[in-house]
Amino acid sequence: MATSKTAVVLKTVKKIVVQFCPFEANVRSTREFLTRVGSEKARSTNMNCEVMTEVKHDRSDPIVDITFTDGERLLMKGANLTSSEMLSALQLRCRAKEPPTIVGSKK
Amino acid sequence: MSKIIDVSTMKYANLRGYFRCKMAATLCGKLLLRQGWLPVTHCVRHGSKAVTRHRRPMHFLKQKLLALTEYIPPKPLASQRRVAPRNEPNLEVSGLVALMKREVQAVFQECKMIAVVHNSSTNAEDMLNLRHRLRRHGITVKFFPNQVMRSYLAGSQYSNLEPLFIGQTVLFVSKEPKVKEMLQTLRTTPQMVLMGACIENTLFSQQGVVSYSKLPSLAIVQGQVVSGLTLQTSQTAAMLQRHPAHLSALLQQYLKQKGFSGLLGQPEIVGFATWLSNEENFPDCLRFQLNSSLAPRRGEEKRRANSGVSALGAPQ
Repeated sequence: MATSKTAVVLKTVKKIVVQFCPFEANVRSTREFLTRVGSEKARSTNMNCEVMTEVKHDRSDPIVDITFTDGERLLMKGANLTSSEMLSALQLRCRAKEPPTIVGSKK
Repeated sequence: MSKIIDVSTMKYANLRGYFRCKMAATLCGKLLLRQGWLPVTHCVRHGSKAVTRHRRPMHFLKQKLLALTEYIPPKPLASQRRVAPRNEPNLEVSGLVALMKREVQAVFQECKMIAVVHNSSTNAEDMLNLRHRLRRHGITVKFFPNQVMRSYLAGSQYSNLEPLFIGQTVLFVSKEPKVKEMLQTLRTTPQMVLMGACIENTLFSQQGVVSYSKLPSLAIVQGQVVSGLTLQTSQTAAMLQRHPAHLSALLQQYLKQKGFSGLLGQPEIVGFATWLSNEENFPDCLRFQLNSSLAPRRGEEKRRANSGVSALGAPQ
């Protein structure tokens, strides 16, 4: 699980809001996503990133709302997604937003 | 090749044997070049020993034998094949699971407040701090495996709590429902997410728990209920007594204005006062008011010796 490729890097993320209703049956993936994103490792990559959780009781679908540093918003509806799909979507966008100079200097 | 063999110089007999050996050696473990041709000799000299580090090629006869005698499992008929889902046999629960179930049952019976909290990986230090803070208010932190919890809840009356137990969950249990302190402690740890609670045999969602914490204490609520009930009855009583009270106030005012002694001689006032005091269902308050206003003057009344006044003064 903790290889460099699957590690969650939140450097370009400003805020993550996870909203779910725990009494529903379709929240497993959202909760797993929350666990992965809220872990110490992920949070240590960016201390300014806020991970907020809202617990509701209105039979609504679980939603993950991510705001990036450049203002872009990513909204994921977790009712029919798996946690790995959500994570990969997030990582894809994070990597795309990473400044290319860092990659060049590493090479 | 380690050494160069000069075939041309070898003798015929040796050559024959040499080639045969070579062929046999190459054939051992390889496919037959021509069908039906069996190696006549098995080369022992150039073969490996019985126990080798590599997979030793089998003699061809042995290979054939094994291939012939391979086990082919019998395929069941289509009618006999399983179509329905396989029912897993109910295995006996292990002792540890049974013990944990009993613990969970004890927890549910003893503790008034049980809160289910999802933790997105707190580290050990934060966990210790949290436990310390909660222990001060008498709240214990308990961990149970989700499987055990779910199997217990399915059989108990709290089955609606079942879907909460997914992923990493922690239970905060306490004998007294100390909701406010728990919420304050949880506010400081953002990773712990309160999902639901069972307080005094009632299931609450997160909003329910928050509103429960805002409720005033039981004594205050009881006082409010009692005051609300008595308000109605007191209003009714006040309404009933309003007219006689007004009347008595007016009479008192009249007496004060006119001066009591002057009025005593007047028969209509005395007669009216007698009538008032003789009323069967007359409210006590009015009689009391009349008595209290007339009491200091009783000495003078007796001197005048007026029967109506004395009748008025005497309690009925």
